[in-house]
Amino acid sequence: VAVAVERVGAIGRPATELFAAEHGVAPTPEGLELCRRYLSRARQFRFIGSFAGLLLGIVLTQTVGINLITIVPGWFVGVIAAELFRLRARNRSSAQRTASLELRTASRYVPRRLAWHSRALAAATVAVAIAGLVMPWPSEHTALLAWSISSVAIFGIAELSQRAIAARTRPALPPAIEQADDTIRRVGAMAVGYAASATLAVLFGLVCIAGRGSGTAPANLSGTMTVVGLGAILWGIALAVVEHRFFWPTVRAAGRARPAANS
Amino acid sequence: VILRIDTGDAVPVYEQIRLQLLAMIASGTLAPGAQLPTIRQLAADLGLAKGTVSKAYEMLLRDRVVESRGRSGTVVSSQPVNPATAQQALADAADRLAVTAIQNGVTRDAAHAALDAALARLT
Repeated sequence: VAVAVERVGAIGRPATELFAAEHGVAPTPEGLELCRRYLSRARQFRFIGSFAGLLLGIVLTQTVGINLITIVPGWFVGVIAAELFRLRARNRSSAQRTASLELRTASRYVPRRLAWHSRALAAATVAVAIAGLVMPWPSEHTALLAWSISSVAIFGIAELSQRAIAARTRPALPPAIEQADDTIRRVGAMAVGYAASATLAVLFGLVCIAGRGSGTAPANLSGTMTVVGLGAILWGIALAVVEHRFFWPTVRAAGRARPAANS
Repeated sequence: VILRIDTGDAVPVYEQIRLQLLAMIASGTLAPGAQLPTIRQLAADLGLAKGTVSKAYEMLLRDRVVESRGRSGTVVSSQPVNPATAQQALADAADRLAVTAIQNGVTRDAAHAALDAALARLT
């Protein structure tokens, strides 16, 4: 695992330049180095989180296999850990210090649509869980409670993390590095948003399946809930794939500048 | 827009922050309605305690140079600065300039020239 983590964190210049070009970072040596360090650390934490999720799935189900229900939350934890790792306080020993007066808020880095997506999924998960708990037919009450509490916790952690990313310490920097730093904040905040949305979609799916009822539950409702639940889980996995392509671009978008030929 | 502080300076850090913000507002670098960074953000970026930045903001709020707008944070006031407050701030700043000039053995003419240069730069 240690060898794999080391290899995952080894980011080459072409990959860094591709990331910089895709996200509009000027290809200055300082900017590229900032991107490379971010990519390296973020990939390592994501790998560790996903791997831990894989192991957790094997332990919980007592079956060797890929369990996306645990891998997606593990990956979410990895994404959050990568961003929180960058929050470590830096020692400001110099007497002369500078700061930009530019206001940094989460809304500057996270598109409104993505923010509402997470909110809507968390609210829908809680609403379906409450509905499942109060319906007269039997349903999996423990699972409903666990998934709905988890969804609220994930939503809260994601919101707080995005605020922390925006407020992360930044001295006054040259424009090129400031732009790279802004890009990394945007990618980090959006990664957290996508990861939260993907995990919340999976949880929403699980809540729908746990709350579909059995026995006396109307067959139509039960079937619909199952279909919606499976659809939500697939939606969560699709969001995870979208986020991965956003974070780790491998296909060049049309019309963007190509990295230098000698890279 | 960059804020610079020197923790080794004889002038307290909160006063350095206050004076620089005042200068930026007076010169129009920070226009009326411009949002200032949160106390938390500025304190973190400068590596200071929140109380230090908070003190500077409180003094600017008291002088009505900036105003607090709840969730929108602290913004540069759109109201003209109170003449009495402006006069007092000017007198305080003049005192500090005079003290600095005397401490460094700077002549009266050199102090006037420094003031003229600062005015020319900011206006």
